[in-house]
Amino acid sequence: MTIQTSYKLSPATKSSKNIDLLKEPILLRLGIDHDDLPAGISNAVKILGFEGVKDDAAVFSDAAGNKTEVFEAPLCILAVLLNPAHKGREKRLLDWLKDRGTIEEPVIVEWRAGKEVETAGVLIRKLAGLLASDARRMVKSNRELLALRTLNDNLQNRFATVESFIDRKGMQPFELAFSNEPVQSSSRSNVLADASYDGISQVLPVASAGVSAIAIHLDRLSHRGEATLNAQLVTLEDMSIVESWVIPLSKLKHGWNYLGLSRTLAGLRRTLNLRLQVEGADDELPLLSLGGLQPLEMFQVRDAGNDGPLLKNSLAMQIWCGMPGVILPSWANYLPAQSEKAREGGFREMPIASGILDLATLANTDEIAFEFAAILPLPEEKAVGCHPPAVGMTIGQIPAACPPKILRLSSDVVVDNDESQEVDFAIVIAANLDHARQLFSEERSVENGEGFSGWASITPGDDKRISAFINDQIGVWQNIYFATRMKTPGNNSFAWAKFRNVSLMVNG
Amino acid sequence: MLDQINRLRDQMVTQLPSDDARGSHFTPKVAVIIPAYKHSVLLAEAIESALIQEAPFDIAVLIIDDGCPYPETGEIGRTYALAHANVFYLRKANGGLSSARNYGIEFALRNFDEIEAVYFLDADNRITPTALRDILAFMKADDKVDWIYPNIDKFGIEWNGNYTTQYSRLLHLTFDNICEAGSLVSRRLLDAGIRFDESMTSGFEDWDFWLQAIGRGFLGANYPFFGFEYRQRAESMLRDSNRTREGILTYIRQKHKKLFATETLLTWEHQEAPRYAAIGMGAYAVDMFTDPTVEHAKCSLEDFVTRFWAAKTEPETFGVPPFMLWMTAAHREALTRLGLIHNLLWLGERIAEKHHFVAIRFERNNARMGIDIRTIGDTEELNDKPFGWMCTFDIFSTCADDASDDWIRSLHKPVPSPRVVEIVVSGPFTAREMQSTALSSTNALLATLGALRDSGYRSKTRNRWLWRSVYFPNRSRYFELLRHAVGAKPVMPRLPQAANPLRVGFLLPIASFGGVEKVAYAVAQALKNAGCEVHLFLFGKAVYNRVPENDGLFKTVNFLSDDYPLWGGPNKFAGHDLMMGHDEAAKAEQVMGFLAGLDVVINNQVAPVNALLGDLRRRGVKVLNYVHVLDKSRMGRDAGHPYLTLAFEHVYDAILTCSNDMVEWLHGMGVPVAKLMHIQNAASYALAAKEREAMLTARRSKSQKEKLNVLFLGRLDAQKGIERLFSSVRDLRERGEPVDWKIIGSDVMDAGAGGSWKERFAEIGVQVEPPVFSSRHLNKAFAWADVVVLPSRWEGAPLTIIEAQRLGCVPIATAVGAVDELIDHAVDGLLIRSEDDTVITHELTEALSALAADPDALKRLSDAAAVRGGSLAWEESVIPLVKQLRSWFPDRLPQSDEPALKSAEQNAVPVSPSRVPRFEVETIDEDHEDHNEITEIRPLQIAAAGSANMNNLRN
Repeated sequence: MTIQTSYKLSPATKSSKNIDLLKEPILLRLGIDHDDLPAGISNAVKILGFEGVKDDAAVFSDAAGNKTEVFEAPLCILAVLLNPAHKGREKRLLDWLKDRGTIEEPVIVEWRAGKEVETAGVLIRKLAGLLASDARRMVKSNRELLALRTLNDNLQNRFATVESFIDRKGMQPFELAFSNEPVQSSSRSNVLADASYDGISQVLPVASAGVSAIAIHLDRLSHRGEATLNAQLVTLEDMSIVESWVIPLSKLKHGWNYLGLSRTLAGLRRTLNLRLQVEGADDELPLLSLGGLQPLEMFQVRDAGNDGPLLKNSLAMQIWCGMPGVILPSWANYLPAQSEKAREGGFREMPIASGILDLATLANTDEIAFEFAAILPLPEEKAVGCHPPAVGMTIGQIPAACPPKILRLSSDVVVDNDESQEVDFAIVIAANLDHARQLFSEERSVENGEGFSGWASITPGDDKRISAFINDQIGVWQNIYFATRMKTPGNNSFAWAKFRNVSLMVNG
Repeated sequence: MLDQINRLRDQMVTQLPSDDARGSHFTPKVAVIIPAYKHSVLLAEAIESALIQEAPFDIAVLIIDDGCPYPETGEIGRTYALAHANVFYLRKANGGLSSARNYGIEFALRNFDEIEAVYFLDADNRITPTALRDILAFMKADDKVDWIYPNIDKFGIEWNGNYTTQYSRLLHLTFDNICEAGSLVSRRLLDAGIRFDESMTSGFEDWDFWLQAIGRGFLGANYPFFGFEYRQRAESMLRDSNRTREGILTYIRQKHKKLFATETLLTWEHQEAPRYAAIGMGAYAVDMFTDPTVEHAKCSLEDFVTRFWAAKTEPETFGVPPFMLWMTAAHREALTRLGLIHNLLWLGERIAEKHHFVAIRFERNNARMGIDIRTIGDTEELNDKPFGWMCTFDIFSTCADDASDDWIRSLHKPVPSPRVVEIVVSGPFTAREMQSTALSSTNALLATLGALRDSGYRSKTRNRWLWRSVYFPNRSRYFELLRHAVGAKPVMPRLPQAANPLRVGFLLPIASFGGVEKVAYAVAQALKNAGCEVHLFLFGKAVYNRVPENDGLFKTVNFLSDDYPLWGGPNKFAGHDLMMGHDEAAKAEQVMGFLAGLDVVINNQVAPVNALLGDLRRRGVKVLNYVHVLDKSRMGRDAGHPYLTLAFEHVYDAILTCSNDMVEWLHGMGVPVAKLMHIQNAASYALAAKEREAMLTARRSKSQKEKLNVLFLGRLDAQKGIERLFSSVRDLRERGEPVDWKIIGSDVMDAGAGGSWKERFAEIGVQVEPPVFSSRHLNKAFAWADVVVLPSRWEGAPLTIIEAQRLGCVPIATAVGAVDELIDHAVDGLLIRSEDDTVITHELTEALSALAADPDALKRLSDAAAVRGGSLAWEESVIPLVKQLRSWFPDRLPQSDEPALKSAEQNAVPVSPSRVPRFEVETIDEDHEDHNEITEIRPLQIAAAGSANMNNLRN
């Protein structure tokens, strides 16, 4: 049997006071005129008279005697002041409150002329009780917060241990979750050129959780040196920008280019939207490759300005997933993200992730050679080993690891073997190896966007931090170079030179 | 859609007001209703997610404490209410989730004038900060949409379900509750009084809520990026609900019976997931429909190709019709004109599921309509140019994927590689309709395939692009949901017409010229005149012998066209073999689909279909059974359909009989009188009053010195008393009586009679003439005859007597069955009451002798017979039935003074000046009050019935 409540379809009585009673504590009076109450009380709290119950609504009167029908129980009744002559009438009020599910009955206080202080005492006792219970609740909440913080710390530590283990053992799964291969199109439409100033957008076919990198495919490059490709990754369910990139066009290469996330996305799975926009180049825009015709309109490449489909194709793309801390294959043109957090302003010291340090390779292979790896990432130490030659210098590089807007590149430098001779250390921020060589050789001074720490001599047991300050920021990502040499050329035995805790100071 | 979403987002962002502006005057547009019961801690998460909404409008957050026994719930609710101006804590006595939500709705409507929508957020769920901004804008962008529901993104037990597809009521009713309660609902919907059913405390109250909305014409839509987060734990109320799912669903189906009715589901299928794609030949246009005679969606071939590949990529989200048809619109029109289009599609669907392709061919035949199904093979070659082709989406999809198209290209050959069945439709097609088009349907099929195969959308990778998990069934397979919901396979694709007339189906074993068919056609005509839409269903031989007078009578003619037994079954009842619904031979699903979409079925002696009428009745169809005659077994035992009627009496809403005799028999055998309805027989075909008068005048002016003309009309078999007739003819001829004979009928080989009756009559000098069926030939025969003889062993209430009497031809008949209800002995005919063959032969011979010798007596009998025969009319006979139908379907049949019934006047059924049809009497003529009273008090009046011979059907 259906029991369908019948409803009044038009509001019966609308009263703003009705809502007011749900927003503040009140006192109720019963059988007492408002004017009989001292102004001190009525100024302190709203006082309403309970007049009775009519058609399931309580009738309250205000100071002026205006009556209001109320359907919902007031939020917080501090007390009911009852004229002893009207004793028994409060039952109607209590029943009405009970019908509305009120568990805790309000305090009934008999109001007698000349006994105002006693009444005030009752109210104060009530308020004191509330204060005490609030305090207990607050303490309890703080305790629970403490427990959660402790739990969080434990989780962090455990996670870090696991991360370190995986890193050390090279257990870093990285898989291609989706690939939309480029197809040859007769039209060879340049979507970046066809789009409005806002660029293009592409809904991704993979859930956010686990995404580590997104590869886009370029069919033709643009050589506008100062122009950048700005990329953003947005979650459509909450419109959060989860990652962004600013990439000089000069860094892009023909074929796949990997937009690496600063960290693998975690948390609830959301729909990702990739937005791409070129800044600083009105013509000669790079040609993004497209996948085949896309019958699902949602996944057609769109104009980010008006969100209309630009073509009936999707972008050619690859989506890579992995665990936190994974690194891309060494052959990838890996373009690290500019973390969204970097936009929050202020100076921040940002450690370079061990995953990035793992990308360190020997740069001046034409000059030196060892039987072992001259440049050796040491992730467990958050360090890179850089073994100096007996004569000359060893230069290591980490490509595109230095974002725009940095102020400083810093690193601890150590010689980790007591039997070693003194070693010189230096770091450079530069666009390419030639520039780095010039700076390491001190043939010229730094130019815009470059930095050089100068050489620092370290003996075993010394602990020093060197910094390269950038000379005027430029809006492109630069390479990091680091070099070692024997202070006294000749004996490089046991010269276990290491750069540790490499970090960047970022502005904004 | 994505364009729309982002445009809206941009607009909303630019419209975001300052905090100051919002603080000045609180006028919420959206109320978030959070029922709270025992989720005291998680409640804070839900509230917080409502409070951090980034929306350019005010939002009221209503916490409805449904009498939660945990004090903490109240503490949290009160704290938030005190701390935030837009949070309200409402406490009520416990009443369940429905009552809490309703409480919130009432509060919101009562207190916030500007409210545009409410959002239902359960206390353990959450929404993202942009959710309400985006979904309100999304809803307001489409005036046809009144609620927005999310994809299901679960946390806890993590799962993401893809609910993104165009909203489908068919899916929502037949699959699952696809709309989470955490949806945004328009004020318009709430103002219409739609609320949660507070008696539903075990779950699925939200499903019921949406069904109410659907019933009131509201529609929902999915927003793919909703931002709804559903907390899934190992146990929940929903899991409890699933345990009691069947019980709750039974309640929901009962409550929303109209929504679950076959015609409603069919209509939604037609609108939302049409079953057939008819691809125009040469026109590059595609019609998509379930019922082609109803307005339907169309698209270009290019759009169709896009949809096709979208359906292949994301089949749960996008779909194309599951059956494809290549046929010109003109040929579809021709089938529609003949009432065959639905049947053809139904057959095509049935066959296409078992074979690769179905070829369709027309044959012109003015005498009959019919269906012939031929399996193409070495012995049956494919006709040169089929008029049309059908196949499933699945087979065509496989062909589109195939590396080569050699296999399908063989459809051009007489014996193609694919398994092909040809449906040959015969009927009175016009010459123009028979002309084939310039483009062959085979080429059209191959061209469509070429368009798909050459499309740039054709993908070899089969990547899924939607990342959420599949939950919905394939959009192209909603027809299976429909089948499951109505217990039928396939479902006849016939929708109600716009005016929604009452649809009455007449079920017949065969459509020849027997009495049962004649009565069925006559009743159908009378019901049509009363405003019904009548349909014919033939279960036996797929041939409808055309009666020109009945052209256009049936809106559709439907052939089951299957190996269907018309009698028997593995079960026994009172010495009768019968079928039950679960018997395989009953073909339950197929027959249910065959009869789908009717309001009323009248079974006219289709024995095995009785087994399924109970299912039909449970689905709201009114079930009537028409009983004509108590047959005899070969050894003389009473047998036949009346016994089956007893077996299945429970499922009939009413039992129609054509004789009082049958009424009494059925009542005597235990059928309640309230179920019995007598429909008095009348002449089976129409005769204009002027024509009849002319024929009667001719009879009166006939010379009295001429011989007595005696007619026998019927099968030459034992039931009709053929031996008695033969003996009488022989005796009269031997006596040299002045009698001329005309014996018209089909010869039935009767072993007991020693061979052909036709030959035996010839031996005594009487030539048997072949049967006649047309009204013209029947009139001619009756006009010629002075007397018609029926020495039958058993009968119902033969139409021959009434039709003979109408033209003044005097009946002489054995008093079997209800014959004595048609003849008043010695007044308007003569009755022979003996049961002994010799006595009957003697009495018949003597009666004919006497009449031959007494022209005055003959004239007296003839005049009385003419009055009686002319007084009967089907419009009057069916009045009790029409009244009954009107009481069952008060809004579906016009009242008696409305034009539909008056159309009966246009019918040529003659009425005697002294007997005005009763439906007119009721409204205009008080002189016939006595008759009316009698009719109302005793609806079971004297009547007559024709019969179909049980033995014939069995054979």
